[in-house]
Amino acid sequence: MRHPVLTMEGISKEFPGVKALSDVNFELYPGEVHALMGENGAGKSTLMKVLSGVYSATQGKIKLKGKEVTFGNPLDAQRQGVSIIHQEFNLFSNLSAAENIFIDRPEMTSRFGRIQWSKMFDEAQRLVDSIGGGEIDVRKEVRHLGVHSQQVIEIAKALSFQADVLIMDEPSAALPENEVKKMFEVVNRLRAQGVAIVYVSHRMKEIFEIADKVTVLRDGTKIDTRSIDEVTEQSLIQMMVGKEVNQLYPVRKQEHGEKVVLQVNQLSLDSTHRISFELRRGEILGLFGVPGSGSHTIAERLFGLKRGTGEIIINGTSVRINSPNEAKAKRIAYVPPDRHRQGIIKPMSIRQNLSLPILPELSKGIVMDRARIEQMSGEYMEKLRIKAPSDQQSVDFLSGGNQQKVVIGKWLAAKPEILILEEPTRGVDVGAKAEIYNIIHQLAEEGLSILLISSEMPEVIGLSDRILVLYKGEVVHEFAHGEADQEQLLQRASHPRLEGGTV
Amino acid sequence: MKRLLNVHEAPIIVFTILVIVLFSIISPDFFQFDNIRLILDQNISMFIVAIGMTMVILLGGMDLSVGSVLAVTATSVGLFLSHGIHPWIAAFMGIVIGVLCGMVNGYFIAVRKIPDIIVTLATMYIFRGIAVGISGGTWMTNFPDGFRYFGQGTLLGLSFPLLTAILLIGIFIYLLKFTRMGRRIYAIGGNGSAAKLAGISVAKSKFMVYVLTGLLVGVASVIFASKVGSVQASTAGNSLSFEVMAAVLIGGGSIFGGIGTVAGTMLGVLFMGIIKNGLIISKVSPFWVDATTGFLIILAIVINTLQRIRQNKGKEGDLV
Repeated sequence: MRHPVLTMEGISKEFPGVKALSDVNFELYPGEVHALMGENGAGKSTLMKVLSGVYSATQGKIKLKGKEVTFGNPLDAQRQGVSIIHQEFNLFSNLSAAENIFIDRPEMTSRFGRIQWSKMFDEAQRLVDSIGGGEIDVRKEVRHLGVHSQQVIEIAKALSFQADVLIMDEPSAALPENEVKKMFEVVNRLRAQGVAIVYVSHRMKEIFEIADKVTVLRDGTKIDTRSIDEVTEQSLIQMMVGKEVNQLYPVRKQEHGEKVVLQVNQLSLDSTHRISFELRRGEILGLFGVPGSGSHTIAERLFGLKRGTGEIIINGTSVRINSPNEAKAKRIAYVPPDRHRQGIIKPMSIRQNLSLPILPELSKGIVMDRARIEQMSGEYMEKLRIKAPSDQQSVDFLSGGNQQKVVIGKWLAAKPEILILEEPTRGVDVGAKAEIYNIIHQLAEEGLSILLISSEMPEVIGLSDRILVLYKGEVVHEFAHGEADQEQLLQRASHPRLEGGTV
Repeated sequence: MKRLLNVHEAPIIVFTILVIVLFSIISPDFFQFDNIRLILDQNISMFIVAIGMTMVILLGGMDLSVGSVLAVTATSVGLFLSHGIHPWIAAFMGIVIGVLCGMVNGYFIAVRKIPDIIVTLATMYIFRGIAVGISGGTWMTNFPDGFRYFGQGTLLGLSFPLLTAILLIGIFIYLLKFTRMGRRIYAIGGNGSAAKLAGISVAKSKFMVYVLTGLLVGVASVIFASKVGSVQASTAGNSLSFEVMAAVLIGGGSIFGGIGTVAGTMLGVLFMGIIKNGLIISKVSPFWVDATTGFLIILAIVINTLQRIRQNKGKEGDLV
């Protein structure tokens, strides 16, 4: 009987007001690839942050090679043998690959504190070669390397601490399809060397290709750990989704219009992927995909934040959109995914935030028209049911839900024809969610065409008239209203090439 | 040749050679031993202060106060001398004051985490004000003969200040390239959050950099006071901060941090010195020196950026 290299016993983690993990047990054996799965918010990343020393658990024990350990910080965890590779790489683009691997390590200096560059280059090259990165020149600065090579450097860095446990968080999200294979070769080598790997991913196909075991989390608790032979995609999805969610979603009173408002032909997302779809008047079109699917890029392209090729036709006329300003002129509005960084201007009042996209319309010459601003702001406070003592209040002091309503409201004030909503309820409590859903619904009934990009399945299913499932920059399936359930949606999004798929 | 072009300092080297050739053609007086020595001599303080500024900019920071630190240390040294303190002790105490100034900057920036531009903007006024205050608004002058050595003396037949500068340049090139402390500076400037995850104490490194900068300014101010022979607290080192920052950028440093070298900066200082000297020798009106310098900063930065773009070409793969 082999002994586990790592055991986590009864791990709980509480944040003010939320229990992110409760009583989770997790075991990991040397030389196994252990997939960790769960929906957004299931607790995967919290568990991995506890394991890698970013968070400390509220309750529970971590044992590494039989000994109980505590990790004060990520470096501490690394020194004891647990390394994590984050989805976003943590590299110094200005430094050589070798230095990225061995930054600030005393063992690379002589007795007198002189850094031994040749030793560092040699060891780095040896390490990189050992995981199949022989083509990488470790003397090169990281900014000259491609994504796969950068990932190899991240892995080498983790291994340079003699890692027994390596956590890979969505390692394929940043990689093009052909490079995923190369990454798997690296993972297989590590497995053969006896490293225990936790593989966090949404992609079914990859899980069945690479994992030995799989553990599913849901709502902060562990559902089960199974050998990969004992599960099917169906059973995994069932474990992840659990019971159906309650009715947060209003029922559509009337069918959407037939008129095509937006038509997208061969819109380029990157150098290889192009996408086409159409959006009708009053329709809510859901775009769903796991990270790296390209749905965010669609929004960026349509709003002029990113340039490329392809045709955008609005109401029958082909248009060019090269900046948000041009998008605005074409009556496109965009509610971005990160409210704090992209949506609101915190120190400004609700009124000022609401008036931002339409300042020219609210001015008389070079002077702002106070009365009209006041009237407009009152109208949208009411329409969106923004709860605040007055519209003069700074948005910084509003709840997440009300802040999000301000972001939606400011774009409605611009009277758009097409509204792109990306993660419209991220970080918003359930009550406010229901309200936002009602608002979205009402807007569609009024004839606004809505593109809903979201990683929350219930939301996409509950609101959309039609859902396009995206995978690595391609539409792999289309669901009509009422056709999709979470299991099917997840299956299409994570393992696209099934019989009956559109590709 | 191709490898030579990829050396970090390549653009500034090419640039410097170009202006040297240009001025040599325009004026036969330019490329003379005495004139070259004059250029070096006139810019000794700048060379030394620019070492510190290179580290500050590598961190992604900036220091507007170095000119004022120079004023307050030079004025203090003048005061010490006028009270009959031995020149070597006065010089040492001046350097200590420079270090103290660096500690003040470092404390607010690294420990209290106040943005560097705000802290050094404030201390720029504070240190300058202290300098003017303690001087009583008068010129510090009539330094004792023994003090002249720092600015004008020779050691082994070579200029003492030049030797000091060369020694310091050597030490800091080594420090930045071959010690963990130096590499931490590059790491922090390159990606602060990754540096933190790698267990680097960002605050400690930043504090050290500002303290070392204070020390270097202290040394520079002693040489400055001795060389000029007098100090006026209200004007000493007036435009030093900006000139030195310009030298770092011309020398290939990035204002966003992480990129730059001491050697590049030194070439940047030399380059600016050559421009100033060359324009005057070529009988161009000295009133046009500033405008020319500004224009050249932009040109140098465009060239640096072009070099970076060229090197980035041929990068494998692309993000989805």
